[in-house]
Amino acid sequence: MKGSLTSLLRQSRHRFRLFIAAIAYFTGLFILLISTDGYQRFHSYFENAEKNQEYYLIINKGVNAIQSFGRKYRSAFSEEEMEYIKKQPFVLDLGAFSNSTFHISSNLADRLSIYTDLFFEAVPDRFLDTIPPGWKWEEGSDFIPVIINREWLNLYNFNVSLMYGLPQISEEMLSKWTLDVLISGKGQSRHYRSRILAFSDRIPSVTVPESFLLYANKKYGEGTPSPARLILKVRDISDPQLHSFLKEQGYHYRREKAISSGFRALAAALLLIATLTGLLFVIFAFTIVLTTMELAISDISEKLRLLIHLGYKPSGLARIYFRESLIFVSIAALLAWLAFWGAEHSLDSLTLSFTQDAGSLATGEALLLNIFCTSLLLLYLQFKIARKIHKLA
Amino acid sequence: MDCDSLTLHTVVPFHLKDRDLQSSEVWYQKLHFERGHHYHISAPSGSGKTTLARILYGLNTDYAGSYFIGERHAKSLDIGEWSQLRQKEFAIIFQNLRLFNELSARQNIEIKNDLQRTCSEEKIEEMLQKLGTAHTAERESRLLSEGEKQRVAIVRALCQPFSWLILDEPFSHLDEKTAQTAARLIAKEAADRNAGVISLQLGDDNFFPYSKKWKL
Repeated sequence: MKGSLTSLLRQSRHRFRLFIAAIAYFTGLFILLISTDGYQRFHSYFENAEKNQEYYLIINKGVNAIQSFGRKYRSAFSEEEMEYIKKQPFVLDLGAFSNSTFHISSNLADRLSIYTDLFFEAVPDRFLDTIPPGWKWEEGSDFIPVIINREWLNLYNFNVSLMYGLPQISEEMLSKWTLDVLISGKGQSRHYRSRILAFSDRIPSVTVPESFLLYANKKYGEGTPSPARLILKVRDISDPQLHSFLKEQGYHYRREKAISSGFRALAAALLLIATLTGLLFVIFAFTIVLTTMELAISDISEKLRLLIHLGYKPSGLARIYFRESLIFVSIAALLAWLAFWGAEHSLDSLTLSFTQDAGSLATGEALLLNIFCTSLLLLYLQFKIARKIHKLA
Repeated sequence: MDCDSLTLHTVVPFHLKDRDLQSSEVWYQKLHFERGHHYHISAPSGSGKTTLARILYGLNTDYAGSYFIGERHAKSLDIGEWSQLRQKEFAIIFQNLRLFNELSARQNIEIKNDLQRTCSEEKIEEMLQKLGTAHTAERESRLLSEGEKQRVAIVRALCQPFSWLILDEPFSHLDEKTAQTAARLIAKEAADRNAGVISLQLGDDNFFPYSKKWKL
């Protein structure tokens, strides 16, 4: 722009407005990029989580009054029933709970002479949520590893101990105690040592290795009966097909904790609000830039008109105004991009464990979004400025 | 674009249509202007001198009849073509001078000269000196007297190539002597370009060797 024209068109007032607009545009674009990125991260995190998630469901038949007095194992699952369940499309795997059919009594070794009757159950190892080191039993071994349900310890610590003034017991403490276990049946008996190696959130029982239970049932008991409880691995806990199947068959179930859908909805809603806020800021900035340029043109419309009358082309004058807003908007867009890039890297290191496999908004996509918004703004701006100045002619 | 002649064919501004214009030698008449000649159109105030100047310069299209620039109908020209014409073919001295008040006298001239780079700084200085206003060149236009402004407007109009120079009461704020000097400068610049000069004045005058005189 020539010197005289520059001094004629220079106006600090609209430059200040443009500066404010640039800040709003920077803020809006940054929020938009970061929230879209956050949305993408959460979305793919939940998607991955869902993809990799396997739910475990423990089912049993209902127990009614007649069964209570009837024969043993009336509520057990037959081979056919298990086959039928396994064939269902929503069932990924099925495991049976094996019950002990021998007599078990135990006392705390070297501590108290209190005997108590026990029961053992076993599930195939692939259904355990935790397999502690030493979780193995071979014939001839006199050590029985045990996993108990964590809820039971909680039940004792937060109810029984408080109610009766008994000491609370930590998991570590309990894991150190060795139990003396007497297995007996069929006129035979044998002493074993036992210890709790882990606590399970999934299996609500006193779990021992399946190999031990099958061996002991055979040697001391009446063999392994048909299971009364089954553990199912399913893909989608909320599958309506699964629920109607369980209902039809009259099976009761107990499920393991899943990702809270409430949390997910809240996170999605918050991110949506953030995205909308970003969008609002961008629109706000759009409006300020447009209004600023329109005001700037209106403020000196007489001068622009005279310039046109002297022979200046309206399109050339429009270019001068457009170039000015182009500089402000481009700098804002560039800074928003850099800020986003920096924030994304900080976010990556902060939430690495959380979103390790979750896809962030690839920087290329964010760049495209940035370019799209900025181009849209600039194109519209160019159109409006050209039209406004053309009207003066 | 051919700009060697201008033709007005039964032109009348809409706002003058209701007036009795029978005695007018311009409105509703056929006028032909040839490049290289000087034309004088006189009329009392309010007769439409400025309107005619604006029609000839393409700023006013509210008229009936036809105005041709060469073979082209003036109303068919778009704003881009008019910009080109105002840079290279048509120069004007507005009656109300129309300077940018916040710019200095020199900047007002430069802003026009920048379009085609017609005059050197020395040439501009020389013209200002001829008109006796070189000493006000750096002063803001709003601080100039009407006479000084008029001289700046004259120099500005001459800082471009042109085939036609339209003068709308160009010497209204000048004394006789300065007006004569300005007229000589204009005549010389017009002659150098073989340009036509259309001078719209309040009354009769002999500033230029007119080929034709009309009463508006």
